[in-house]
Amino acid sequence: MRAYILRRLLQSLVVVFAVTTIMFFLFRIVPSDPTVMMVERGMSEEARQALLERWGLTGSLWQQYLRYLANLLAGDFGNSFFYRMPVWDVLLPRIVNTLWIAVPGLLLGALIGAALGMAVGWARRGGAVERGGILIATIIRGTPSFIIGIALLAVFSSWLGWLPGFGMGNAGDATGIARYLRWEFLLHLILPVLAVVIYFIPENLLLMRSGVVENRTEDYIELVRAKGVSDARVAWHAGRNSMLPLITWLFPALAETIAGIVVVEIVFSWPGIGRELVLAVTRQDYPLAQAAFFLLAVMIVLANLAADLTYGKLDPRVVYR
Amino acid sequence: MAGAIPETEFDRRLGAKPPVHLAVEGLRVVYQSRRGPVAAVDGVSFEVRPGMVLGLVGESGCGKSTVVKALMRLLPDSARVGGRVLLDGRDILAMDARALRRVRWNQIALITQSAMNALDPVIRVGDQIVESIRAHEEVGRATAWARAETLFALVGLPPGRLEDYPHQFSGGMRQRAVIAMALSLNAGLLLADEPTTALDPIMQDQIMARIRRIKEVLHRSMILVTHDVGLVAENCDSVAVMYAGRIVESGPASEVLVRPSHPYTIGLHNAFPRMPAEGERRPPLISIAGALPDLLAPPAGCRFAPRCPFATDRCRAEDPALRPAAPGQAAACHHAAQAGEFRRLGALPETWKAMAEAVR
Ligand SMILES: Nc1ncnc2c1ncn2[C@@H]1O[C@H](COP(=O)(O)OP(=O)(O)OP(=O)(O)O)[C@@H](O)[C@H]1O
Ligand code: SF4
Ligand SMILES: [Mg+2]
Repeated sequence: MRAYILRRLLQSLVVVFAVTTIMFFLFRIVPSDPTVMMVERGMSEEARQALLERWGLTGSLWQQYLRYLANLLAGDFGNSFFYRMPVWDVLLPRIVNTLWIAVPGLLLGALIGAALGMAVGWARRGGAVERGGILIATIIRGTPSFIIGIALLAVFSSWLGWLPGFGMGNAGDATGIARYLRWEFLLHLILPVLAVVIYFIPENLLLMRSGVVENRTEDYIELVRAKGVSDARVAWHAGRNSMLPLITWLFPALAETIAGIVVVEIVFSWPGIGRELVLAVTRQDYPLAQAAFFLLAVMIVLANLAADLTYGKLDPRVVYR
Repeated sequence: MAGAIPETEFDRRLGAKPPVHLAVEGLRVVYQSRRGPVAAVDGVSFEVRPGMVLGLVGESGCGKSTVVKALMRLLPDSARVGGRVLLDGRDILAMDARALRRVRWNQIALITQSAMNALDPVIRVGDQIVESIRAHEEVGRATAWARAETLFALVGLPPGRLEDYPHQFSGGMRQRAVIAMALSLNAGLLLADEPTTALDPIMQDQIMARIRRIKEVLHRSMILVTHDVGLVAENCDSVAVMYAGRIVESGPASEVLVRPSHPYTIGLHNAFPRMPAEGERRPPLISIAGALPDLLAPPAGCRFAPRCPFATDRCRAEDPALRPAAPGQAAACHHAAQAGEFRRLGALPETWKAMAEAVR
């Protein structure tokens, strides 16, 4: 078990390293001079050189790359071209903001989706519940997440005027956790979280349903029914067994899901890491964009690892080798 | 052996539970298949008296499992079920969901055909037994677990293995675990659907010995489904022989197996290896040529006629009813009166060989 985790961590490191390298060179291949953005007109040549040096943009590409790696190892992501401050200081609050919508959104989406999928899978084959459930889930799955977001905005924000749909509200001079423990912040949270939940439900629902449909004809289900337990309990057995494929899908699908969350952040102007990433790319703010991609790669790799380990917890038949 | 089992909560409370009486009347099950309705069970009636063991025999596909599942109402929603299943006089087929839930496992427990897949793969075996107990009794987990330990001892498994998951068990152990679970409420009727089919001969013997011991100790009513005539001879008081969804012969096991009246039973009898009596030559194994008729379009007249060496024109035209053939014995054959002659001819391989040619 420990050897397995160790090996998987090593594999993860390789993946992250590869992503980092590709990103570094990708941004350099783009035919534009990053200094253009920072160099003020009429700046002297010496001043420009000094600036380049400060940003680590001197020397050959190789030298720049090695320096970048060395800094990365030391935990130094460099400075943002745009914000003129350490990348880390820019990203950290953005990450926290993203977690505020991603964690509840994904958890609720997975739970609600799995519960609905269990119900739809357990419903009579070919009945209204099954057909309606599949139809609605398929439609929502086919809907781009920005449409979901805009629809929520239109209905709850513009039309009904119940909920705010822009940003996080004014924190005033609150700092730390107090920034988040505001009624206004929680109100602003509702719509983006809802968008993530709706975006995430259909895939969970459909996967859970097909698992339950497959399991309900298994022999062990017959015996569970014969034992005279409640119908809900029988469905639970089928659902419990269907969780296995769900988990294998859930964590790796995080990569795709992150794309959905980026869109949600943009639609609701939510200052999260996804929105920041898009902005950084359009501003050619390489250090910031590279760091954001690096963090995403780490997250996805860790999610895959978590999926593997959770699977082992859920399915006693799994052995780690 | 009863003395070998220590006195437990199980013996004191559940041991007193009486075996039940089962009467099945005109049971009919129609599956909806893609090609049309299939009457897999077509008017089956039989009785299991308290504490008795009924053997239900017949070749694969004749409808044995369908009967068993119908008794517990485990068939898929698409199957239409008719007739009456009277458990101590109460019709299971007419019960509402609540009453049915209470009858399941409390009154009728099931030992399934495929013990390999009969247990939930992701739940500890002990917890699955505990689940069956706590579905019906207001007892704590610890009490239920303790009873599961008693049950494991009863079927010859180390109680520590309750902590294991099904995949950690061998096929034989899984079958024992399923039997242990079937005993968890000491139901008055046990349905054992081919409890040993998937096992090797040695394991089969061990499991059957276990079941016999349980029968002696716990004195349960029981239906033993099998296609092994030998198992019926060893374990059953009475027997019902099924063919293509119907019972073609029934009666006391000793009578039906020694003096079968129906040509199908005679053929079935020949198809199983027996230990020869002293001085007797080992009887040859003779199989019945041909296969079960297509239930979508069963033949007019006797369903066994296409494979029966004694079939006449009357057999092919007229459907024989189940009628008394000998004291306590019933057979669905127009010519059951000639059973003695059939038995003599049926013991000769030539009789069935000729049929094999004809069927081909
Ligand atoms: N769910 C179903 N839908 C349609 N037909 C079915 C279904 N289950 C069983 N059948 C058919 O009903 C008939 C009886 O099946 P059943 O399982 O009761 O036979 P069996 O006597 O138990 O056979 P075996 O010895 O192989 O277990 C078979 O022809 C089978 O194909
Ligand atoms: S009725 Fe005729 S065909 Fe059917 S079993 Fe009897 S002799 Fe054979
Ligand atoms: Mg069967």
